[in-house]
Amino acid sequence: MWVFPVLVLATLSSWMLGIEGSTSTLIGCAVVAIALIKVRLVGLHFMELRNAPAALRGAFEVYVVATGATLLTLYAIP
Amino acid sequence: MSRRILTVCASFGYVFIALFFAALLIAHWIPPMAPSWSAERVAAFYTDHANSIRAGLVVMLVGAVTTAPFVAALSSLIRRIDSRLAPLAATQLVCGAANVAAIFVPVLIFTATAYRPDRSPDITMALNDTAWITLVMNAFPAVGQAIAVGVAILADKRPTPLLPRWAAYLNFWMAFLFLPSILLTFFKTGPFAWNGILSFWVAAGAFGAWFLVMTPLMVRAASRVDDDRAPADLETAV
Amino acid sequence: MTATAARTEHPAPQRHRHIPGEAGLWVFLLGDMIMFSVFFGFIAVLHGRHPKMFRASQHALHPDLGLLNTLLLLIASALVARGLRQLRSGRPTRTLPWALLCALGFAAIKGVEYALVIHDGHTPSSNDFFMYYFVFTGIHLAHLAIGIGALTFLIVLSRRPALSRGHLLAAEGAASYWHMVDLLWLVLFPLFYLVA
Repeated sequence: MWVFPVLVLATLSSWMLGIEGSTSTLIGCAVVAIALIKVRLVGLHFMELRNAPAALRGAFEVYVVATGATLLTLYAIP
Repeated sequence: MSRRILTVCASFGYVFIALFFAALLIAHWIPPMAPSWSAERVAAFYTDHANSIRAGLVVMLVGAVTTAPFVAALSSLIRRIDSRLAPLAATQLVCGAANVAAIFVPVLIFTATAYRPDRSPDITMALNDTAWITLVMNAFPAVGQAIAVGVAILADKRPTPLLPRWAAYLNFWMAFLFLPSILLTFFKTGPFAWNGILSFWVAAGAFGAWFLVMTPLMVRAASRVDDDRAPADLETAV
Repeated sequence: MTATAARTEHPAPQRHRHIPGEAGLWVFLLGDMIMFSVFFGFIAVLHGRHPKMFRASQHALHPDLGLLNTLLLLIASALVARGLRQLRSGRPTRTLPWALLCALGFAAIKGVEYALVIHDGHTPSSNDFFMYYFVFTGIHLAHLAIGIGALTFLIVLSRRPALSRGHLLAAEGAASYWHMVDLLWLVLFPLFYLVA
């Protein structure tokens, strides 16, 4: 399964981006975006939602998009 | 068990919601005042709205009692799901009874607060604090109630459960939503204060939604009660 | 081994649409996730309103411990996913106790970090950042405690010689709950520790 190494890699990347303490909005948004990508991977592959009926999978995807969009907006616009 | 009595008792859920929210509006509980208000401002609030507050509280007092038949109907349904679930039915009943008290105790304290608004503002504020804390921090019996109900629903072995399984999970979620209010003791501002988003709005919304979802489900379940082959020992009381 | 021969096989749900666990469970899981999204919003709003206080407070946290915790949860989730696949195909599984160990490790490390932060003089009433930090990670920790129960349940199931379809659905449900615990931390961690 390729999902786990990707998740670890994404975690390490965002950690390296984050611990510099940079206050750059771009980096902040990047870290948030990576987090939501990880969330989607966990949901689709670990929770097996990619095999779920459209309604359930759709609800999850909407959740990821809505949470991501809201957070990115809040972080991008001071 | 009389199907009609069960249905009527369950329907009291609707009566409660109507009375509860009417009272909230009449008594100026919505939007809730802030813990950070000064004593003078609190006293002025009670002086300005004295009679509508008192009237709303009377409505709420009646509303508190209407939860009693509703809670009793829910316990009856739990026992009807399976007579071996009697301890869960009892837990629900005890927590539901605590909820009745959890409504009328703050109502009586608010009534005392509104009784002589021209007294010293510090005393009014102290009474007001007592009233709000008993009103908002009283959620724990509801947590126990929701969990007991959820577990009982999941224990239903019928092909068509008496109460649908998603309602069990909804109850578990509601139990979580009632929890943040326990933190209001630490805060006078912010989402966990007694007027905060998490302690008040989410919890109150969940509380109302719980009644609005459970009542129709219970009424529908009550209509099926005589259709089931009841276990022989079902008529024994809790 | 006779234990292997006695296990029933279940078709892997790859070709037909399948709800993990049961439909009602997702009312709870999605509801919980939505509640946490509200929490995430609070953190983001605080960051926007008081960036200096946010960054200054953030320095008191321990991102290395946070990273370790994140990796522990990811490992646990991978192990749970693997264990579930093994249960489904009727093979014996020994990965699940390791997942439980990871979960316990997370709890221990979280406790250590709380102790360190409090020892430095920061409590939930220090400022809004620490209030959110302690309360939201605390609520997450409570979810993790329930998750430990779910993992224990999975381990007990895995010891049975044969799993009925009902057992398997319950296992999927427990696994899904655990993955939710992981998923929620995946957002909490960067919001508190990484985004300055």
